[in-house]
Amino acid sequence: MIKYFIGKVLFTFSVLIGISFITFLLTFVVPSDPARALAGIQADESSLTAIRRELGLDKPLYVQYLRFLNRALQLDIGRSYVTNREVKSLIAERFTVTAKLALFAITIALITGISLGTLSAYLDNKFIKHCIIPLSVFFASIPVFFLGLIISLFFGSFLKLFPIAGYSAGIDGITYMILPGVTLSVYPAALIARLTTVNLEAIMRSEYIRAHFAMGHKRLKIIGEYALKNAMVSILTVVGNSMATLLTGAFFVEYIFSLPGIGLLWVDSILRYDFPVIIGVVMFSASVFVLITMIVDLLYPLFDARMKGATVFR
Amino acid sequence: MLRYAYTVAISCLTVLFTLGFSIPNFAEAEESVTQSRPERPKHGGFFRDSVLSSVTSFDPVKTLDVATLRVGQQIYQTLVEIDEHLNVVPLLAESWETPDNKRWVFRMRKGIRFHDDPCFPGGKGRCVTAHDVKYSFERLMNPKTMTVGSWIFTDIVLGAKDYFEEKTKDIKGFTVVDEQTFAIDLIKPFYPLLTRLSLYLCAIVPREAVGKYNQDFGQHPVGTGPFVLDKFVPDQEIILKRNEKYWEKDLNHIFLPYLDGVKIRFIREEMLQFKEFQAGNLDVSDIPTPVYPSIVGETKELKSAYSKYQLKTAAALEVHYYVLIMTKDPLGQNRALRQAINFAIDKNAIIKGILKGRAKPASGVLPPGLPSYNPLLKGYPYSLELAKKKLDEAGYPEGKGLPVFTLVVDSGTISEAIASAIQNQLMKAGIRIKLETTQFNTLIEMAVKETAPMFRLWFAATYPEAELFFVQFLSGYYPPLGFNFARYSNSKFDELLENATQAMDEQDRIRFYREAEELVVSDAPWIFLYYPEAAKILQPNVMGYEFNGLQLPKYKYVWLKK
Repeated sequence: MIKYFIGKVLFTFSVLIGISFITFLLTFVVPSDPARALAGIQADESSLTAIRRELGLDKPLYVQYLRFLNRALQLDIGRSYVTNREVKSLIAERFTVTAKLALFAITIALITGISLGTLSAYLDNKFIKHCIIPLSVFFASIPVFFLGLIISLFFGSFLKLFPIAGYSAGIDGITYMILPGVTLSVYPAALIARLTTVNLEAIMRSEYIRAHFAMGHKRLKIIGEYALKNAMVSILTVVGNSMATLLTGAFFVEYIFSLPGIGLLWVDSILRYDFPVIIGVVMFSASVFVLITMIVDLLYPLFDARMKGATVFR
Repeated sequence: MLRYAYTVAISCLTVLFTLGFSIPNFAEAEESVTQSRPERPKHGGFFRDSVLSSVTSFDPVKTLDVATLRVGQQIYQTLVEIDEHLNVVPLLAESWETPDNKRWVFRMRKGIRFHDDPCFPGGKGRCVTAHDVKYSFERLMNPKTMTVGSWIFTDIVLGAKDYFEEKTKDIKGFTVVDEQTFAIDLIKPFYPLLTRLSLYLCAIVPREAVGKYNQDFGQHPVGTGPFVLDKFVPDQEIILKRNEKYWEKDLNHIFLPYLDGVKIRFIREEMLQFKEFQAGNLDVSDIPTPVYPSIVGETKELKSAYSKYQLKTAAALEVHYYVLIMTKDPLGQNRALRQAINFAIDKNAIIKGILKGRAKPASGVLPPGLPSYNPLLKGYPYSLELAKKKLDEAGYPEGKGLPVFTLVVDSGTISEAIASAIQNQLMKAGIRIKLETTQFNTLIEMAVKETAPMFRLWFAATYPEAELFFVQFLSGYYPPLGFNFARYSNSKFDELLENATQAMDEQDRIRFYREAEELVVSDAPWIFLYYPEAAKILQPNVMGYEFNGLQLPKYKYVWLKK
């Protein structure tokens, strides 16, 4: 277990170094001048020179990178060129919004997906199965930006049930989360529903389940206590991947509903050539991705006893 | 009963009398009737507005973006401000004088206090003095602050350039005469200084706040304005609260502002903003171009479905154009070719088809709304015949022998649609264009490095002065020194602009500006496209919302009818 953690930490560290290096290079390869982006078209050369000097952009690239690494090792990823705020506090602020959205979406997806899959297994009705699978493919195929627009127009503009744009951190903020949350949940919900249906169908045919039937156990109890638990291993993988994707790439939904999350922060920073924020968000997203994969790895044994002795934990 | 009849009769007579003198102009009639029964403004309530882009940092010396300006101007104040009719009026300065247009002396109002803030002893805001003006202006010229506004004083104020280049410790041209008097000495006469001082970049800040908040000063604004920052969650919400100690009064001697506060939401999309307005969640909204014709009629009134709302329109102080780089052949050396391109573009068709009528064809550089705008300037009205004639004159009959020009535009639905329409229109004259789209900042880089012969730009004034538009044509302002992206050079033009900025008399200034504009238009370093029209739609209960070409709201005059 300790070895596993050390391995993961070293892996994460090397990934972050690699990513920071590539992002750093990319930001300097593109034809851009952060100083001009900051100072506007009216700025003269002496103003631009002064800004470049203050930002350290007048130094050679390797010096800038080494300075960045030095600071990053002390958990300081710098300040935004545009707002002059610390990048880590900017990320923390925006991540709160994205995390709320992602958690909300994944909760809806889990409840909807597992309920539909379980219902299909419980009823054991071919018609329902034949409906769930194509419907899940259909919903999983709708582009999220299209779905977002439809949902916002129907529930926001037409029925006027929920606000269609903006965000509030208070209690009233929940209403702002509903439409984007539902939009974002559709894809993972469709995947989970399909996976649960297919997995439960296979598990329900297995010998140990037949044994439970032979013992006279009720269908609902068998599904709830035995079958679903086994089906959870693959569902967990989907949830893990979806969660990582939602936490790092809910950009379209954030854009459509004007939610100030991490995706929008990243896009805005690219448009403004705000290099410290670009690099900060990329590194943060990579860390989140690795962390979630690690958590999913750790959760497997809870659902599958065979994995308790898996190589990865030795 | 008799009394009632008498009142009705008097009212009818009043209305008839008023109408009798103003029938030719119904707007005037309506105004005079309204003026005869003015409703007294009421205090209270929160105004709900939104911004379409991020509010970045309130630090005046770092602010260029419109969203931050709109909010920041409610908190910070400048020596002078621009009124609804685009005139310069006193704000923190109560008066000024300039004997020779070279020395400007500003007399400050007494007793104006900074907002209460922990940066002051006891948390009580102290009075603003001339020392604060000197401190704020020197801060604007300090390269260590990463200022984006050094251009305001660099070439005009005595010693400003040396200070910016860190050769001196203070600016000779800024003098504190006494606690309430501040003087600016210029290198040479420069009348637009006054309008420049209305810029948010020139806002007066207290040194205590800069010292206390240091790097985070941009998130802790401490000004003298009618509102104080109550809550700022970037890209989420801004709440401004009424400054209870604000000094300004209205004509009825009622203290401003009327509102208890302003709630500003961040909504990225114009269409979403409008939908939120329709849902009653916002008090004001822009009108998205795609839906504009269904909301606003041709005579600029709201259509019946929207008649309960209020409409405000103004000629934006903005010009949209394509820059033609004059140092590149064949465009650079061939004036007739540049004129041919200008004649070949049907601006009216673009305005009608793509901009849904929300603009006027640009006849020159200066947009309507500026005092120096020349309504008689013809510019280049669409004429395929004249375009072909000019092409002959240029040595390219029917476009034969012309290379394919690359036109770079910023990505965006309207920008790309206009470029595509222009590509088709120029094709009719035999001029072929290849389109490239890119992100705005990259486009500017390309303009600086001369990597494209033509590219789209627009220029929106932040203060109402023709000089701001014309600086783009000064010979010494080629990039990277300045933003004369066309690399236009004409000594006669330079001289005219110099004369205009030095003239004390407004009529003289206008004359010089107009002559300068005629020169530029005739040399055609731009493809002059259009002057946009700005519009806002307001809820029926919103009163006192001033709107002009600068499009910067002044919440201090806004009040809400119950």
